[in-house]
Amino acid sequence: MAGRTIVITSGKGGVGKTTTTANLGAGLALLGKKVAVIDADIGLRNLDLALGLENRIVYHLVDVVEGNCKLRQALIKDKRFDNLSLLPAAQTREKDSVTPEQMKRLCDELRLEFDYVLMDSPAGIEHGFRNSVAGADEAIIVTTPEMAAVRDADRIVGILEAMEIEHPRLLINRMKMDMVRRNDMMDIEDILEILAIDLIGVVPYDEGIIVSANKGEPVVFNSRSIAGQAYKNIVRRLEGEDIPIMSLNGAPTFLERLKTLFSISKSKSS
Amino acid sequence: MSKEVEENQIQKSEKSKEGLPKEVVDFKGTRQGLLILLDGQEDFKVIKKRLKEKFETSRDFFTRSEVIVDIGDRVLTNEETRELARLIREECGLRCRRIGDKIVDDVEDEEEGANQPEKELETLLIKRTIRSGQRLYHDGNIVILGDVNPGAEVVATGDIIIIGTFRGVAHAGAGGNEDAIIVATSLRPTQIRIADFITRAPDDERYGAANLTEIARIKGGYVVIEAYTSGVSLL
Repeated sequence: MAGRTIVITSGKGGVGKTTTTANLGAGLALLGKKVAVIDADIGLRNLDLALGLENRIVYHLVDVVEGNCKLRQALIKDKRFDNLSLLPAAQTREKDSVTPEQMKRLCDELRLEFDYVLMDSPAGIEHGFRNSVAGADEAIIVTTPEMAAVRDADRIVGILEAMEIEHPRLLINRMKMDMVRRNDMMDIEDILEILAIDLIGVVPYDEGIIVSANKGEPVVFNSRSIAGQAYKNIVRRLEGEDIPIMSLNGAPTFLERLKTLFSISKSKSS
Repeated sequence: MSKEVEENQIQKSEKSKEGLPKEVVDFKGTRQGLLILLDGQEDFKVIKKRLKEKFETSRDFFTRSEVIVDIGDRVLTNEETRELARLIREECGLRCRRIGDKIVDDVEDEEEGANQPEKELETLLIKRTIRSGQRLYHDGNIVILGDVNPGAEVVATGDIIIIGTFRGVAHAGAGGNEDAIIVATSLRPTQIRIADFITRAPDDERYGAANLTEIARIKGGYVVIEAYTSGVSLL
């Protein structure tokens, strides 16, 4: 059976597409799936850093497309998992050195060999984005609980529908439940109301993500990380399991508990 | 000469040396690459034919290696030397480094004949920082007064000298010069390539803070990085 190709995209930059791609790829590999992650951000590659594989790059995506090397030569095996491979982007080339047709052919070749092909899309809705979407038959849209990110995600949903990628799924990243409780941040419901697409998961804000990105260790490898747990759940939902969205309320801080007390007493008095 | 006659000659020459297992064409793997030994007496055409056949049967063994041809006490004309180099390149995709006492340069053996001395390399001086996504290529040596950041690539057919911190990818001797060197006043590369050799930074090891000038070069089939001491012979 041919593998699934999924594009991870967002419209807005800096919402965590690369981190998400690295963690979903690593998470699927943990489940024993054969996974290829592709960095489609030509000219601004980052996925290699997220996986800690930057010093192994010899050939890249553009080399494959231009026939300078075989696909097999450009795929970098992960140092932890044999069943996880990275196809790095070219750093010294332009986005338009690849066409959507070439990307589609590349994905079709990869899906013969892998269970999952995950594509890390560049920010924006231009050529690079269209390349990354060309070979995909599913999409995960990453957003953060901010108006700008949600609006860009909405734009992406529209474009994907026009490109006939049905049912993109939403991943809400960097959720801070304490801020939601204080009414300082958009809630999951607020976001879903605007975008009206299926939710595949919510990843809480976690400082550990920054540390792990710098180390090139996806956070799913860290069993104590709450963001890592959230990514693991998303991976299992991708696999078709029905796992409820993790409650992110956690333990409220002492100050928050005081505030809750006050707000209850206030609402009682009013 | 017809095919039959050629085959006869091969058989004859092999028969006439019974007891001596020496072949007209023999392959030997060495650290530097592939050594091809040619019989000193046999007809040149027979040698070429035998060479082709041997490549047919053992093509896959010799990817990547370089070739040195030992011609015994045979004297080859320039034309024959070129022919041999071309045959080895086309039949097996191998680069011929030396045939007899002649250095074979890839470009020159096509255009001007194989007996030319190595040409003097031009040196390019760059006074700026090479940043991520920038690629510097020069047919010759490169000297950089500045840093080379991660994600940047410096490629030279000759040597690369960096007065500054090197954090990117360097490829010296691109095209096959294994004598090429890379020197930097602070050498912290993502990856180093010299000729066809590749080495990468270790995954866990962290570099010290010291600004120590280091040199990378090929020694015994490996890229070796060590402290640079001025005045030490570079070859």
